[in-house]
Parts: sequence; C-alpha cells; structure tokens
Amino acid sequence: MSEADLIAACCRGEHRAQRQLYDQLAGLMLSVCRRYLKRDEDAEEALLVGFTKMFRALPEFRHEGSFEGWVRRIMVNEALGQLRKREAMQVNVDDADPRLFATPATADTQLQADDLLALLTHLPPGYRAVFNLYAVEGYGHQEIAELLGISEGTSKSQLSKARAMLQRWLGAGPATATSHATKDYYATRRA
Amino acid sequence: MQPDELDKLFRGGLEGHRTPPPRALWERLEDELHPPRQRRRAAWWPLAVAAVVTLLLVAGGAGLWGGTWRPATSAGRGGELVASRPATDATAGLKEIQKAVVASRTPEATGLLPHHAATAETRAALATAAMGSSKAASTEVGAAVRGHRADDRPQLKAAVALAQNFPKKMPAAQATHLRRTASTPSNAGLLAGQVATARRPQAVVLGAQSAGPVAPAPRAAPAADLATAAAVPTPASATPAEVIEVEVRRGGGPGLAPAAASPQKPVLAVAPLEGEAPRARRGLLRGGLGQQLDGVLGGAGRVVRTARQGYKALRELPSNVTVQARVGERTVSKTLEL
Repeated sequence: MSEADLIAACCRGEHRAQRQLYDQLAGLMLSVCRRYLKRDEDAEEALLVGFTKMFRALPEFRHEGSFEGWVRRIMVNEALGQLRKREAMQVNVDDADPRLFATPATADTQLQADDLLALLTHLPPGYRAVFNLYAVEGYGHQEIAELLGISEGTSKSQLSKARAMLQRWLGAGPATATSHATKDYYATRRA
Repeated sequence: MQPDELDKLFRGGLEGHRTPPPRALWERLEDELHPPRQRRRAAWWPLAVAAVVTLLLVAGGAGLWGGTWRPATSAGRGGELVASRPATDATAGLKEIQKAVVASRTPEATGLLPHHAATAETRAALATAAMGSSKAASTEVGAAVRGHRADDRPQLKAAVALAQNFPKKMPAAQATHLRRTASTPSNAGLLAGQVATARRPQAVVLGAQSAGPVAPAPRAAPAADLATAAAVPTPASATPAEVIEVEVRRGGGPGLAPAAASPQKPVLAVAPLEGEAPRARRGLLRGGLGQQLDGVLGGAGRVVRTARQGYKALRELPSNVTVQARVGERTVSKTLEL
C-alpha cells in the first residue's frame, strides 16, 4: 500500500491503516519529541497528542511536500507546546548543573545517538529548543523566533550559548566554546 | 570544534534516530481516535442480540415443552373442548367434571340409593331425555347406559365417562351440554337416575308434561304383537308428578293390578331393537315421534333386550293385551283385542 493509499485509508477512518501509519512514524517522532523534552513521559504525551492532531488533520494534507516533514512539524509544535507547559523556557545558564561540565568529551569521541540525545536533554530548555530547531531541524532564527515567541537576537544568543555548552561537554572546553566571538556565533545563522 | 561541525555531528547522529514507543501508547491513541463507548457498543451489540435471541428460543422452547401452548385446532386431552378455545378451558372442563364427581358422592345425588328411591329421579331423567328432541337427549341416555355397561358401578363412573369419553366423538355443543348436565348435583342425580334406569329392565318410563297420555294402538297388522307407548314431548321439564307410566300386560281387564303387585310381569315393547326388528315394525317409529323414541332408547340395550323378550311373549298372546297408563294418582287402562 502506497503512502497516498495509506493516507486515504486513514482519512476514511480505517483502523488498520491508522495502525500501520503509526507503526511507520511513531519511533521517529518519539525521538523528535525526546530531543525537546527532558522527561520521557512528556515526550510520549507530546507524541500522543501530536498523532491525534495529525490523524484529525490528515484530510487537510495536500501532498505538496514530504508527508514525513509535515508530520514532523506537527510533532515539533506539539513538543514545543509541551515544553512551554513543563519547563521554563528562559533558563539561566548559570543555573545549570555544574556536574554536567565535569564530564568532558573529546571531539574524536564517537558518540552514539542516545549519548547525543542525553547531552541535549541536559541543555537548558531554551538552549535546547533553539539548538534543536536551528542545528537539527534546519529552522532559521526568524522562524524560531516566531515559534518560540522570542526575538531573533534571543534565538541567536541562545544558540551560541548552547553550542558553547555542548562543545565544552564534548571536550573542547567552555573556554573554547566561549572563545567564539559573538560575531562568529551569529555568523552561523542561516538565511 | 567549529559550530558547523557540532551541528553536523548532532544532525547526523539524530536524524534517523528512532525511539520505540511503549505498547500502551497505541491503545491510548486508539482511545483518543475511537472513543471507548463506540468501541464497547460495537463490541457488545452482537453479543446482546445473540443473548436476546437465545433467551427467546429458550423461553419458547420451554413453553412448548411444558405444554402451555397448544394449537387452536386441536382439542384438549379431555376431548370436551371447543376447538377454538384455549387449553385453559380444558382445565376448567376437568374441574367441572371433578365438581360433578364430588357432588355425586353426596347421598342425595348418589345412585347408590336403592332403585325405588331413585325412581323419581329416574323418571325425571328419562322424561327430560324423552322431551329433548335434540341429539343431546339421546346422548345423555346413551352415555348413561354405556357407562353402566362399561362398569356396573354407580353413576359416579357414568358421570366421569360422560365427560371424558363421549365428547371425543360428539360435536362441541353436545359436549358442552353434557358438561352442564354433570356440573350440578341435581343433574348428577339425573345421570344417576339414568344409570339406575338402565339397571331396571322391567320399567321404561316415558315422561311427558301434563298433556294427555298418548298410547297409540298398533296400526299395522304385525303390530298385534307390538304395543307402543309414547309420549308427546314438551319443552318444559317434567316433574315426577307429571310422569306417565305405561304398562302393557297380557290379557287382563279394567281391574288390572299395578305392576309392582301383579305376579304377572308386564311385557314391555316400546321400540324394536335397532337392526333386528322387522322393517314393518320399525316403520311405526318413523317420523318425529319415532325418531324421538329412537333417540331416547337407541342406546338402552338392556331395555331393548327386555323388549325382545316381550316380542316373544306377545307372539304367544293370541287374544288380549292390556295397556295401562298411570298419571300421578290416576290410572287408565285399556284392553285391546288382538
């Protein structure tokens, strides 16, 4: 059954097609949600609500872009909404757990996905959201600002600080991360 | 590490990453997409329909098995039911029979009384039977005699036999009439009297109202050896005082003694036996009166046998026959020269 047929069957409310679509996308989307949410329960809740919204909004899908990208957007929005509910978006870097910085990692370390995910979950929520949206999902600062309800400057600042933290954790050290001038940080912004 | 390298590291590492969702998550999603009420309703609906159908089948089967339902065209086990009535009437009919049986056990209605004590009732019974121009009258007498034949016990058995055996072969109207007859103590006594009459071969009493007794003389030549006694039936019921007794004796004269005191037995010849009497004799009984007598005496085998003996006696009589009619206290006799 092709993707279009599967979508059509889901639009007719066929239980079997809905289950098949869920099986195809649930693992991937749960991973997306976990990048934004620290707690697994919150990620699962975001996934659940996101799939519910997706199935109900499925007749509105126009097949103009990637279906997976469409679903991912829904999940990201839901994860961000869940993040606003559960965690404070604006977190001071100084409030971060200092133990995180006591686990240095070298740049040559072959990090697995789960390790990367663990590093992301240790970022402050604001940093985590901006870094995920910019570095992993490919959003621009303007779009991030609209999604998070912040200014573009705040989005760029938080991205720079998130990178510095991750670089420090990965062994480059905070000094190295912070050694990048603000000019360099904003230079990485996308058009 | 440059910022671009860091971004590539995370993008490449997490792009295709999948986290297996817990199994319960799909069930929760199902609950969101398809409300449990609809799913439970859809699941229970066939079961509920199956349960209802099963209950109906069991209830219907139990009703048929228990015999509470019977087809409308079949008669009840007692046979006394009108075909269109439900089975509850069968129960009612049996109850009526039981009442009649219980009533007949009382001394007044019991046929265990001596024959002379039951004479009055016997007369009344036969009078009623003779006056009834319908088949029901013949049925009553016939039933009484048949009950007597089947068992020499008193009218108790006869009443039961009337109610249980005869209606199977009778129309519903006659069966109902018979039930009514047996349902009251007095009528039970009537039945008892009928049985008692069957036990008395010497006396055939034909009842009539106070209208004048009719004892037609023999009309045809062979009627010389036949004396016919008949009564004109009336719709009203007869009392013992209105009963006319007719006796036929050999010879005799005006000063003939009553039958009970006479040493000479009376010869009774009321009707020829069905199928044995000559056609000429049977011709006497044709017509309305003959049919009535047929109806009254059709089943009275004991009486008719006595009449056959009377025929032989009459054949031996060359000269005179005396017919004596007794109405209450009055007695009228007539000697016929043959």
